[in-house]
Parts: sequence; structure tokens; C-alpha cells
Amino acid sequence: MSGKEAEQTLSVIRTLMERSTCYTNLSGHAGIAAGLLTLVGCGLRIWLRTPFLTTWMGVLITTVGAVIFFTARLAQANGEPLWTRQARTVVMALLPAFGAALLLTLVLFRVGQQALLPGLWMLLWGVGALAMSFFTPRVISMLGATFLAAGTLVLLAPPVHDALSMGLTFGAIHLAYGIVLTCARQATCAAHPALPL
Amino acid sequence: MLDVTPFEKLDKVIHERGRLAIMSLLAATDSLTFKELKEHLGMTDGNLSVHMRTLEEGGYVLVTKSFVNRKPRTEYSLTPDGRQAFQEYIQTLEEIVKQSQQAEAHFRPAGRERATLLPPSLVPAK
Repeated sequence: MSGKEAEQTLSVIRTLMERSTCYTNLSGHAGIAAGLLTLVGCGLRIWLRTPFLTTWMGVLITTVGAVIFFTARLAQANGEPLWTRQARTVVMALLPAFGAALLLTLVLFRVGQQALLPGLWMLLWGVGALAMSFFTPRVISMLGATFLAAGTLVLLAPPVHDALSMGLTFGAIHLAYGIVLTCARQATCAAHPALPL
Repeated sequence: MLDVTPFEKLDKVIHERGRLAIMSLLAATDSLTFKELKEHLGMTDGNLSVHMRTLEEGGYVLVTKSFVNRKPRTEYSLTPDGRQAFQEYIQTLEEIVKQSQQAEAHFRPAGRERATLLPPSLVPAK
């Protein structure tokens, strides 16, 4: 074995070691459900004028439930447990941004600054998704970057009704993400393209 | 003169690209299922089974069988011997690279030192 071959082998080993930490049980149906539930929230806010926090917290709770349900179903179909080491890693990566979003929601709602919340939620979901993307296929980093851009835009642009900003971002983007993921035959890891093995 | 010792030290069980790939995936994790290994490597069931048997017989891999939702689940993990053998294999490769770089240094003026190719956890302690 030449030095060059040894170098290439070490490089392949490193790539494979990184690849084995990739979480691939991403459910497209969960994305579609998240988008549809947000749109339901938008409808409730516009036509029934339901309270801001109650509506969006309701959407959050039902979305988390739907994501767990569809992910569990996918795991079951793959003959795998839901709570794997990779799943734990992904959830742990998301938790800081999720916790910060909950705390800011409480604080800003208490001081009457709820108009800022949709933009902040987008920004923090973008941060969380980008943190998760180190352990997931490429599509999550694209989702994270999109939400970072959307959050920045919503926070800097003139204020709009929360149903509009939430519908266009958490609604439409998640729907598009879910459809893309459902249609894609196989999600491949971002940092780890096909290897010469 | 080139020292041939590192080449002789390469573990013959690991030094097959399919098995090396399996060992690399298992070294980065506690355990992986047969299905996960198959997806990562794009191997056929038969090919993967043969490699797993060779690694199991070599004492490098531990097999755990269980049922999840009444479906059989086979999990593989590295044994302490397997982990040790893998680390030694990595160290040998590093030695070969180092030797090669030293040999190259004779033919070119001082250049930049190459970055290590491995994760910090696998870089042998100096």
C-alpha cells in the first residue's frame, strides 16, 4: 500500500465514521402535517379570531404529536425503534433553540411584544434545524437556512398579521419540505456523498 | 530505505474494503442494525452476511438478536478486541502516510505539514 492509498483509505474511514451518526428516519408526512396544522391555525386566527398564544401553542403541541406519530410509524415500517441513539442526538441538537423559543415566548408575551414572536420562532427554528442538520440529510440544512432568512425578513420588514407570516413560512415551507421528502426516494446525508466502496 | 514493517502489520481481516467499511461504521457508534449497515454501504444481504460472519469469527464483532414489534432485529457492535484492532489498523495507516511524507521530503524543499485525516479521538497519542 502506498502513502497515497493509505491517505485515501483514512479519508474514506473518516467519512464512513461521520456517516454512521446520520439520522435518516425523516418523515415527509410529518412535514406535511406540520404545514397543514399551521394553515389550520392561520384559519382559526383569521376567521374565528382565536387568541394568539392559545392558537399557536395549540398548533405547536399538535404538530409535535403528529411528528412523533409519523416518525414512529416510519421507524416501525423500517423495523427500528423510535428512540435510537441517532434520534437522541438530533433531539439534543434541537433542544437549546426550542427551549430558548419557549422562554422568549413567555417573556415577550408578558411584556406585550407578541408581534415579534413569529419572526423569532422562525429564526430559532432555523437555528435548531441547522444544529440538527449536522446529524441529518442535507434537506434539513436547507430548511434551517430558509427559516433563518424568513425570520430575518419578518423581523426587519414592516409588521404583518401573524396568520400571514406563519402561513407563508411554517405552513407553506413545511408543506413543500414534506412533499419533497415524501417524493424523494432516499434522503442522503449532507456531508457524506456516495463513497467509492 | 523504506521500512516495510508497517505494511506487514496491516490486519488482514480488516484490510478488505468491505470489512474495513463495516468496521469504520461500527467504530463510530455503539451498535448498528443489519439494515442500517446495508443502507450505509449499499451491499447485498449475502455479501454483508459473509463479511459479518468473517468479522464475528475473527472476534471483532458482537451480534445481538432481538425482536422489535415482532420483527427480528440483528444488531452488531465492535468487541473490545475489534475496537483495539481497528485502532491499530488506523495507527498503521498513519505510519505509512508518515513514512511516505518523509520519503517525499527528500525530493522537495520544506513545505507545509499536512493536516491529519482522522477525527481527534483516533489520532494516536504522541
